[in-house]
Amino acid sequence: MLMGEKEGRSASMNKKDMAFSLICIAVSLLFIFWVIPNDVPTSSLSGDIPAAALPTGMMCAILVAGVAVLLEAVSGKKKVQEDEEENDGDKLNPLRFAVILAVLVGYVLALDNIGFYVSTLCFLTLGLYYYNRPRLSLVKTALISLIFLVCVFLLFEKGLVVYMPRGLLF
Amino acid sequence: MNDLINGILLVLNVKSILMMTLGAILGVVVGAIPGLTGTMAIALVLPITLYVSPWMGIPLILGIYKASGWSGSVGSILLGTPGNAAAAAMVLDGYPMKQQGKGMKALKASLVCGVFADFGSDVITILVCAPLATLALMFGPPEFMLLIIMALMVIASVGAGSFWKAVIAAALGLFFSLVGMDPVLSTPRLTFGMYQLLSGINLVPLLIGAFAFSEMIQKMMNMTEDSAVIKTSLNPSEIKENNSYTFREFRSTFKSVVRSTLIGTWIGLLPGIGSGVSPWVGYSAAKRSSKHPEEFGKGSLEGLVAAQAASNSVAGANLIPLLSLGIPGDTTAALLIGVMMAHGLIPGPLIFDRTPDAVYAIFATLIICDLVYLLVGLVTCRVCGNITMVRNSVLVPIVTVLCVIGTYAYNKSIFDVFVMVFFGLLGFAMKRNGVNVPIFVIAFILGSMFETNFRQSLVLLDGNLLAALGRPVSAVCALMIVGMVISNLYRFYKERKKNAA
Repeated sequence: MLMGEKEGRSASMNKKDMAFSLICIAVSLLFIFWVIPNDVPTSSLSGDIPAAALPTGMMCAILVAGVAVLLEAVSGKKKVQEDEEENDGDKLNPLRFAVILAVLVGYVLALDNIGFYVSTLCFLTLGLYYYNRPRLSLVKTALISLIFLVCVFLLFEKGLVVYMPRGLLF
Repeated sequence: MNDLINGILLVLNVKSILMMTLGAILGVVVGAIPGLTGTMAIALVLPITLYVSPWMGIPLILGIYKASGWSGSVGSILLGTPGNAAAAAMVLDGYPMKQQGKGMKALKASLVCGVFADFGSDVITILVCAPLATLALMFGPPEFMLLIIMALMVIASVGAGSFWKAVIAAALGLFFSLVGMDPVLSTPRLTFGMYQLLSGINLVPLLIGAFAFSEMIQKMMNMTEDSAVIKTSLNPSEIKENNSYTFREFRSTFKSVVRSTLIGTWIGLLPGIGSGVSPWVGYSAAKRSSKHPEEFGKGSLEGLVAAQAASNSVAGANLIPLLSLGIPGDTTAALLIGVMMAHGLIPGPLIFDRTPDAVYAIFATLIICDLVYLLVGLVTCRVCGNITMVRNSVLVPIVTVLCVIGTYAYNKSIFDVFVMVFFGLLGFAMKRNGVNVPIFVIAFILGSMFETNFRQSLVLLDGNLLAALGRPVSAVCALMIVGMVISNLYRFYKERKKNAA
């Protein structure tokens, strides 16, 4: 890897670390000063600590570690080797992520409202159709999905007597 | 003696052996497909194991665990692409061997030596577990509390990546384990008015989300790269001896295999280090003591089997802290704890006293699994090349649906599916930011144990934790923790100095 490339990558990782540490700091502060005091009871047993002590302690640890990551990122002394091992997909496409998230949440919501078999048939068919290049035909993907669902039906509903959620449709 | 015989009989039957075989086949297939891991497969089949007897569920999981330990190397040998982090060292000599037309020999050698190392590690596990558990029986709440702190410190300090991010992972895991009823006051805590959270966050949705679903989201994000399938084939060589692994070759590498087995077992014994490190340590130890170090990296059989043996021997040893102390050493042990607890088997020193037949059954499963996956591996060697060509683009939507089915089947609850999606997204975010997910999961599992022991210690010692130092075992644990803190600070200081230079 060229030196310039390395520096560029390191800079982008530092930016990412900065964002990550700021999120950690914000979330931990939110929990320490607002969520935990409002949602955790107090203990009156002799010798025992308040029930909020451990959750607060954990959030304090995240706060301290978040500050440490921020300082490392700001000082720019993070090792390049560490950057390389951190992950393989630096570029997060926000639009793609939003679409994937919407589809997944929509699918889970549909399980209870529309029914497991119909929503899974749609999800699988579209998933297989979208991701396969060269494209498989819609009929082929629907057929694969159908065979898969028959196997699920036989294994779970007939074999293990676990009934999948039924919604408006089957 | 009765317990021993009863334990062996629990798993020495057709159903259990069939489950081991099924597990071994699943393990070989999943491990051989680049990008899929045995941990993911175990997380997915975990809910199914709850519907069958523990002596069908545990053999299935151990079968997957052991077989995937070897089959991760199939990609390393045939494609030069490791199936998982543990198999990276096998690329060094495995892939050159394939290029020299010795692909079949490399696969067979790695299988035989992997099974041998697994067996060796299992024997050591069987010998060590009971005495360690007897020692652990002397531990009270303060000792267990310190032991858990020690385990988390080892995991955080030796895990890959930044130390501070490991602290974040551990703290986050412990934090999520605190959701639910307060163990002392029995009042809701951090449940946000959701009655489903009163009993805490269920382990299975968290495991499936953090290990399998997060991986699927990652793959969906990068699918264009995965759609390019690397074609490979494993045509047996025309030279007969290139296709077989002879006893003479095994004997010539025997010393390296034994050395690597001991190294892997020692590393497996320490919580959190796992099979990612052991192959490299085993490989370099073999290279240092080899008569032909110059052949290493150019298709050396000795190098390949040393790395494989070190990798596989971690599997058995990982169960030592789990069975004797109740502390999961790695992610698979964490998954196994889920199955055991669901069936009323609580790992820890008391398991040897309360259900000794269960412990012997697990030991017997470990040994039988070795034989089963050796046979499955030998039979599937020839088709391994085809397995590696399965397209991720077909698998990802199917595995995503399997995550949903597995989570729902566990408790028949849509809420759990949402919990799984939440932890999938959290796992995805953690992976993208270099935060160690296994540390998070192990900390979550240890969390409730830590809190119970911590608060019991406080009540026991009337709020003065320093009084625990008057207990000899606690004092030793505390000294070890102080030693670890000092060595970490020293390492941190040295690294900073090196970076500054």
